[in-house]
Amino acid sequence: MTIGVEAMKILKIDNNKGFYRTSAESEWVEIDAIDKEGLMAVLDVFLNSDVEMDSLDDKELQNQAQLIIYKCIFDKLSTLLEYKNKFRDESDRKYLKELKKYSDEAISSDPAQSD
Amino acid sequence: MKKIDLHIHTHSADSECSFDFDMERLQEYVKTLKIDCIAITNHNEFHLIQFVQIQKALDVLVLPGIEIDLEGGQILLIGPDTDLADFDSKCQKVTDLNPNKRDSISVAKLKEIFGDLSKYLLIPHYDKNPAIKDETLNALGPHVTAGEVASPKKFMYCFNNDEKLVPVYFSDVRIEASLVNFPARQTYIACEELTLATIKNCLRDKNKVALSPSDGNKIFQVFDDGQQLSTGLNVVLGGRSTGKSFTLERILKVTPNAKYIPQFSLVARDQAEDEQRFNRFLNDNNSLFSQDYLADLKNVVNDVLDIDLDENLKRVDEYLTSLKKHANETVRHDAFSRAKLFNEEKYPDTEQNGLEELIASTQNLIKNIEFKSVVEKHVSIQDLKALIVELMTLYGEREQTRQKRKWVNGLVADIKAMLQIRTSATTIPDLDLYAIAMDEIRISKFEQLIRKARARRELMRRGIQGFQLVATAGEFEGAGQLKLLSRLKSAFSGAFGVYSEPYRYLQELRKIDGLAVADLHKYFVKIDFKILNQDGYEASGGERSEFNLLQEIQDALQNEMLLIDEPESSFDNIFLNESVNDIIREISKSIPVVLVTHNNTVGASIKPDYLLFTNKETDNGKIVYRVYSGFPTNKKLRSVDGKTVSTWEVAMGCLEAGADAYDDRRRGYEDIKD
Repeated sequence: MTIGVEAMKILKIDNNKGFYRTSAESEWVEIDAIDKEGLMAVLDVFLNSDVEMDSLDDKELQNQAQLIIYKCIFDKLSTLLEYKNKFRDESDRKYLKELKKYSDEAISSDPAQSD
Repeated sequence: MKKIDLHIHTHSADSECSFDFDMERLQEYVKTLKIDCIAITNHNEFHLIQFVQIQKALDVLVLPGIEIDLEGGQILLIGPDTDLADFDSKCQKVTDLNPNKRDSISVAKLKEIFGDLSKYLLIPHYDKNPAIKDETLNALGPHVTAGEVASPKKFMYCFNNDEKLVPVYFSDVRIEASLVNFPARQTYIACEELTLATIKNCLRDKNKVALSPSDGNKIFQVFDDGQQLSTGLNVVLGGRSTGKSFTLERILKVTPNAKYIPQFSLVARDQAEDEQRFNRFLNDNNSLFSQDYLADLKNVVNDVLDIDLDENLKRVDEYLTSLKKHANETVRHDAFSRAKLFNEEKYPDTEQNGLEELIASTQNLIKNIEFKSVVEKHVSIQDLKALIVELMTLYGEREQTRQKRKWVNGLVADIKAMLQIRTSATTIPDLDLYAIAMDEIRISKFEQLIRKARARRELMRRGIQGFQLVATAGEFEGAGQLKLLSRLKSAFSGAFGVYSEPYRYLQELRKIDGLAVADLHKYFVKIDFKILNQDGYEASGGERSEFNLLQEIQDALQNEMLLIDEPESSFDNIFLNESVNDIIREISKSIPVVLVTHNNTVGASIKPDYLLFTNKETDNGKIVYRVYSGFPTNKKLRSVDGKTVSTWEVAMGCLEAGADAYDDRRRGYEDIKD
């Protein structure tokens, strides 16, 4: 399965090994070397751009630990895809109304802005 | 003046309080109390046949009425006696709407049923339960001019307050065969000819209502035999065994919620018991102060309540053991245990309380109107708005990071669990070292705070009626004090053994049966209340009784009437003259006071508004207890059966042991003085 169109690939399976990366320029890293910071970076890329991930459907991973990690990340990101926009959307965030009000007031009463 | 009672029950459909109406009792009630007009006002119902029978049986004006549950309160609706069939059919609609007698109808429904409300006299329960709500009164508008009150005290309060409706005081009595003492709760109105229209007219004007026929609101009737009392200060005089206390008890019977201070009730009998009772009284009366003072401590105790340092220590130990084991068994490591996430820790959850508070404070500064000019003198609102925008933006960013970390933590936990199932290597348990370190700090701060709170010091000092009330904080001195505070039978000795170690003490307190978690904070710091006399020394037994009396009298303001029986039996004249007389006079401006005495310091110096003189007499060989009463300026006091005594003789006889003794004493004092 491939997700996204003309998108950056962040999870791939190559030569029976699982890899991840967090930008188009960065090197591919084997999936069992990922730590929580790596997961955070993957999540950021996932939320902020269109991405592609190799599915496990027609591929195999030799290393069982890699299989567990790859599958977990893939499944969790796939689930997140459904509410990716909601995760990013700030409309239900606290203070949003107030923030808008005070920002507007600050702009409208700023003489430099009104000139 | 005409005497009216527009609130009488003659039927009850409610099975829980049903009664059998007795026509003869009603006739006797109207005759005995000399009433000129009544209204029959049963609860959510009107009985036409019974009403017509009552009209025929009485030779006074009888008006048809109904007491309606209206929006949570109650209201009397009284109609003209001209179209009874129409009134009956309208009342039937009220009955049908409220079959279980527990619901209320709305003002809109009332108007729908009765149409033009100006045809009726509407009298809500006003200073009486269940009182009508303000919004209901507003909705009824000009149709309501008078309100029913529950006591002469409340009548006076409404009468003297321009904002209040015209007060009326009615019996609300159920006329049944077992009715023995008739209530003397009626209102006089200044009216020549009684009709619904003239009554309505009177009830628009406070000057046309009164508690008595000729003395305005200075006096009111208390018993059905015609006995009256002042709405101010009444003094009951009389020899021993002439019925003074009996009269007080009679008043008590017909006055719900009267405060009664019996003879000798405040005198100490047993020193230790008295002291304990007094301390409890002080603690109970000042519990709000203690509660307020200990409120912060309660939050702190709640904050540390769930911290289990022993459990934390155990978990750290387990963590270190498995960490060492994991490091030593390199041969057993496999692909699973070598994966980075195998030993990954979670992101700690960082709450944003501090930032939320800062935003709220900034918002307060921006929104505050009262001190706007002061705020703007130091910082411009524009800057504050820029600050709040930045703080809120920061909050949003942090909140998003927090959500992402939560998501990652969930994923890490899932992966770790699956890796750990497959491996043969030792797994290292999750341990939030940050949380454990925070627990240690919280307990350490908690212990410091408790030690400081326990340091002996004065918390409050204020003057009360010539005494000083002093509150001090300090340590509990024994398990007995804890037990006394708890009012439980459980033992506190185990807990008190570690009282000096607040955290351990808290753990021990939690083991005590019956001790509510919400009350634990009360057992850390002892708050003592003491009463000091004018010289600054702790009050003696006698002074404590004096203080008790003054407090009891002061408390009576919450009651409908204050009855005091012979305060001179427990207190000396100087105290009575200097303290008690003043406070009683003051209180009698708000509620009726009845004071029984045979002491000249009280009786003569207090300047009563009304005198009652009880006397035991023999009429045709039969012993009769008579009560004579009147204003102290009257030459004669009069009994309800028309007999009189000289006011001067009563005063001399009761207060000065007779005129001769008074003259003797006066001369004696003059000799000493010379």
